[in-house]
Amino acid sequence: MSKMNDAELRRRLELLAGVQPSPEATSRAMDRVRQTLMDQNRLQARKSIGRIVMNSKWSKLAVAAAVVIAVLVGLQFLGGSTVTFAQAIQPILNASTAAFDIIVGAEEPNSPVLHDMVVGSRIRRTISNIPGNVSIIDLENKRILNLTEAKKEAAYIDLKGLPQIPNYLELLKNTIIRLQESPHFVVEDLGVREIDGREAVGFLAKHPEIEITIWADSKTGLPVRIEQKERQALYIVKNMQFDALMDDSLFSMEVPEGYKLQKMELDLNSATEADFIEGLRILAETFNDGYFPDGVAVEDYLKQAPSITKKFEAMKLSDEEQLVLGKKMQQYLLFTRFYKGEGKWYYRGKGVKLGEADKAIFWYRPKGSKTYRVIYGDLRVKDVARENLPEPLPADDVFEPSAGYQQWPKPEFVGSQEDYCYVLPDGKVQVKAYLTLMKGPKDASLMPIRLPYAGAPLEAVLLGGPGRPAQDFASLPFHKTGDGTYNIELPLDKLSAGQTMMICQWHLSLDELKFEQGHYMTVLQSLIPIISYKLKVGVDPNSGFELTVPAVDKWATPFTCGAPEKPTSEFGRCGLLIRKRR
Amino acid sequence: MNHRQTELLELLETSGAKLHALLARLTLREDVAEELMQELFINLHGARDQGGIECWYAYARRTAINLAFDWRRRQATRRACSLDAASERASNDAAPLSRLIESEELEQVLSAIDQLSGASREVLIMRYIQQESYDQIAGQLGKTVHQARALCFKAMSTLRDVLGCDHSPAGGKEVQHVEDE
Repeated sequence: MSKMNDAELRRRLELLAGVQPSPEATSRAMDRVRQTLMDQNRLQARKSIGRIVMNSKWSKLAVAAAVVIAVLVGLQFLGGSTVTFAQAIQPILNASTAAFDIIVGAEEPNSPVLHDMVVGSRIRRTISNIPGNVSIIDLENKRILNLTEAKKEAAYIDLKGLPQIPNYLELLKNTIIRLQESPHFVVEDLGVREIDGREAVGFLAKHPEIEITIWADSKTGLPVRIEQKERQALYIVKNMQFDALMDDSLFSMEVPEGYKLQKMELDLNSATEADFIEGLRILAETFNDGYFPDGVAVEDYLKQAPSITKKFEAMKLSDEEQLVLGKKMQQYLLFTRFYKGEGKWYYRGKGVKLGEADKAIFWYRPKGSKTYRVIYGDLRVKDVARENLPEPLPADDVFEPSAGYQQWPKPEFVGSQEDYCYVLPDGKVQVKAYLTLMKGPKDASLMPIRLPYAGAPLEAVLLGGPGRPAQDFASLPFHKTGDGTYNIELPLDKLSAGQTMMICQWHLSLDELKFEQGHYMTVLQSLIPIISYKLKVGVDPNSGFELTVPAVDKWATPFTCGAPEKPTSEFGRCGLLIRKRR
Repeated sequence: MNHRQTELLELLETSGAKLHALLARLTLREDVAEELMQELFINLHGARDQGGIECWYAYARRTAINLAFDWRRRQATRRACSLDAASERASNDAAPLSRLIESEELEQVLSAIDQLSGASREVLIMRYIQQESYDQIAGQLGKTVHQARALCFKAMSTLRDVLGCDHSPAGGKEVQHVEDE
């Protein structure tokens, strides 16, 4: 700071004292305060908004949250997880244009319907309960043009965090091919049903992360309805048309003449738990008479969008205030829409009043966390262990969903495997390989396997379902075909019924393992080509051995490998993490 | 309309312009002053212990000063973090170069005022920026005139230290700076 003398300081203070806002500015500021003070709704809304961040780029933009988030609905559907049965999807793959309706959530009479028209990488989207609003989504450039016809307002929304999607239909094709080759992918025949007055054949395509039901016209093969269940979101696609003529001008990203243009950016990955909590608070305080909303999914918000918009307008907020509130609601919606946690989230806020501290309204598990975050009615958050959650988790949220067993046209079997090696008091190692079978050649009832050590013969093979108790596992016959190789007889009916977990057991002498630099080295080899492999090691207290690392539930994990590029059975070697007890 | 809203509307009519001017002086931005004025009255509306507030204007002035300096600190952080923000701010002011320099000079003084303790800052603002008399200051602070004068002197002296002033006499005694009582 440069030095100044006293006179200079006084001069500057006088200058400050002389700063006088214009009478218009003072009058405007006082009018605004007056209006706020006289309107209880506005006062409440203004309180909810909290501090306005001046100078932010947001403060110069105006797009309602409902519209923006509605535009995002279904983008994940385009973004890499869509799949259908090849025969039913063929018309889509061959189409140069497509039009369809999307319903988010369960189909009910008042469900908002998104109508999409698709040409190449552009989608023109309208929403049934927000009339006069059109969005053109340019996937290639990750940009949305939102047009509000009545107000002649336009907004460019640049999307951050959206995967590169050069061409919508091309993406569908690539995704289908990729998923059909995935060992996780399974298709079930659902038989015939009448859909919208037409006889349709149904297929259920299952993947651990997604379930898609496709109903195709039994005569023409054209898809008539697609239901996509992904995590907790359900999308229903219907009224599909292909190769209809569409005017290019409908997909123009140019702002129509006479429209007021604004620009904004939306980062799809930016929402935090704090944003979500803030949204809950605003919804309760400002829009729901002190109560939390009935639901927090996008479809719940979409249903409420018209009444929220009305309230927005009734509050007579300034543009800037609307923007702050809009931005907060966007962040709130993004939290569940692009949920980053593990498993599912749970919302129990319906009927709960803001401030009810004893009621848990929402819980979820952040990625990589062992505990859950539980939000209570007073909006405080606690870390809670799974066993202390307000409600027990449903079974399908505890284990990875099983994709079942499917026969495919390829000649090999594919699965995933976990080996448990247990050092016994006699110095031998009991090995139990838990093999989950996913795919196998059509009608093949003999499965060839190869054990890692030819000198350790296969002793038993059991088959059961994942998650079932060991006593429910039934023995399977097997035959030796060579040194360390066997054929196992497969009961296809049981596999198809979901009994896909196989336990193969053998014993190995520690003497057969190479001892290098203080470590017993073992070969890492699976019984069949697999897509994930894990080795666990434990020691009997009387074995004279101990683990060299801390155990988790008595087991150490010397090796783990998930999702190699393609199914494989060789994973190299590793040390067993055991040593003679000291 | 409840009692609090009525009280605040009265405060707005009697002292709104003065508070707005104060916010404008401390932020040097009309638009920010308008926004902070909203925030000020929202805060006053939500203030706890309403019964314990003897003088709404004094309470409002103190809150306004806090809000303005809070804003200044946020701005300083933003400027430090983002060159864009700094240029954006400069571009808001279409004044000629001389006004920009003048604005920088005032910013320097305001930043120094922010470094004073709460009580010194308030009394200095009352005296030298709001140009209130010692009588008025004493009345609002519940002090004697002599005490008010001493507080002002001490605050000014601290400000000089913060700014590195050489304390050379220029305008005579403190009391000669503004209209004397």
